[in-house]
Amino acid sequence: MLVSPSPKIAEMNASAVQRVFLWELIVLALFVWLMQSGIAISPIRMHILQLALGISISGFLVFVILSYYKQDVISIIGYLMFLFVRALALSVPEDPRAHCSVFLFVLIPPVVAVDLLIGGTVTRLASVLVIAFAIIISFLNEQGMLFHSVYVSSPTSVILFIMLVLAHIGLLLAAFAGEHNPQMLRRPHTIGPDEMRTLSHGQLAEALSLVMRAGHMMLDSGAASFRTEDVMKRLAIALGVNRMDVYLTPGGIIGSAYSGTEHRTQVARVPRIGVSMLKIVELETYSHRINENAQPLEVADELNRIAGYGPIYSSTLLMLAAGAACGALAVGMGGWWKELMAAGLGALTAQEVRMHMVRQRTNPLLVNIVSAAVATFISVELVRLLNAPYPRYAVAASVLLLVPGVPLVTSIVDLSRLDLLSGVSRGALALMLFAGIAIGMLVVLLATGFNIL
Amino acid sequence: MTAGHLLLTLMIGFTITVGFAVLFNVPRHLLISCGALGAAGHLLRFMLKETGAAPEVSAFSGALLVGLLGYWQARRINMPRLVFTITGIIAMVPGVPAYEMLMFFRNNNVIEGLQSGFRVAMITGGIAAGLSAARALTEIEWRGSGEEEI
Repeated sequence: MLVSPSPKIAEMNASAVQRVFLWELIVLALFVWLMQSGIAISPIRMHILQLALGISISGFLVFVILSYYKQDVISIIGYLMFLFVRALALSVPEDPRAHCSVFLFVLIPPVVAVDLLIGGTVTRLASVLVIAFAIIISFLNEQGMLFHSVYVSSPTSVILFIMLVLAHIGLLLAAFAGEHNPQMLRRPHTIGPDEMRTLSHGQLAEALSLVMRAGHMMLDSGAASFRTEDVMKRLAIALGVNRMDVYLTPGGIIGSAYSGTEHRTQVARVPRIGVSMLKIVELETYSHRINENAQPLEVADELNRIAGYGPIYSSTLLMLAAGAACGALAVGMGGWWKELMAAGLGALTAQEVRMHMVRQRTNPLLVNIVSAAVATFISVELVRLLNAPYPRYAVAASVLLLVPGVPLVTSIVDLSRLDLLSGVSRGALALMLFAGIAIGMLVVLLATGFNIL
Repeated sequence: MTAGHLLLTLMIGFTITVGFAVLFNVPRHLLISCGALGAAGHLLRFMLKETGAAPEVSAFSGALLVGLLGYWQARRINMPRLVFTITGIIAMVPGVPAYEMLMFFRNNNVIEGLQSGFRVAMITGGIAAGLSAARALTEIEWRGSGEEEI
């Protein structure tokens, strides 16, 4: 390869880096287009500019996540600065050309600093080019030669622009050269005939019981059907089963294991669908991590460990999270701190009620009805008390903590894979829970006479 | 739309997503990336809506972004994508139209209630289509490459 990327760049997910730089290029092109247009910025252009900025902000957000995982403090700081200053540039809405100047003066240095610090030869060269570009731009700007039609029409600026584009292409190349797909340890869920081992009747039963238990735990935690099937098959293969057939419904699992001439079938009922992302994540990870020729005893131990996981967060934290999320939803809809208070407190109380009822193993529908009623009541009262300007946002947001997100999304996932049985029944469950929310709200709205659209 | 607006939108999206992630028992080390994905999706949806796109289209785009970013994250750390998508789309749930529908029905205003209900269905459908499109773009059955996918 032409370029030799530094190990740190190579470690990063190459496609992410490429995407980020691509966005960078697009945004830059838009800026240039806007600058050379010189005068009167039409509203449409304004919108396009802002949209582009939004996209590039999302892109840098992605970069921040990336840096977070690499624990690379330098790039976190660098890109956070980038994000901040870009946002700052937006605060001068009257003249988009002001954005451009802020962008060019202040934004490039932190990124270039990061590239210089962790980059390979080509990246560093590119950063030097970018620095040169920025210096010349700022000089031209001070001379008052920039941000007019001069910008693109003059040969100097064309050369400058080409330099910048080349610099970015260099960065892109470096990222491509660093293509390094971290070969994740993935276990297959089918095996070739040469790897098969034969289990006795008793061993097969033991293996199947463990696999069924894992499937039960997955469904019980709210996993989508295909994922449950994958995990079960992977575990079965690791336990020495030659072929595993699974038929999943939201209410139960039918699984058959085959080994040599032996076969076994079990049916497991899964009466309820709970929510625990932790268990799903752990089981998924375990099904990839498990070694070949796993012994039933160790698998049983591991399943016991995962089954023992309770809630990660304390009840107080759950209540606070519900309150914060619903308060933020109210603000997002268009409210402000009064709506935030009303929706947040309503949701917080509803979460408390919900946790108590779930502990008593109440019917989920009833849980939703009662919690929605509580949330609505409290938010209605608070809205009246605080005299909030947009009461409807508070009331609408306060019940959203009850939204059945897990059945909704898994239903979409199952339906889009044409797993109709699971998809339709999960969708029906989600609809029922939505209806529960509506009933609870209506009761309170009628009782309190709250009638504001 | 000023910088304040955008930062506020980002913060709102982050708070909503992290809050629901906590409610859904998402492991601690995934909270920040969940929140960032949700914030990105929420921001995209907000900006599209502000620039005049139809609410269904903006919900679709937001869900698509969440789905694709979720795929990338899920692949990178070998996790089910569900963790990121479920928490990421919560901020897009059409709360206000649903509330309007309820209010219209409460006042016996069936026609307008049905209109709001249709809007709710369209936005929810947009979210569903966005997530499905993200899957269709990234998944093995649709894409036909030889490797296993999340």
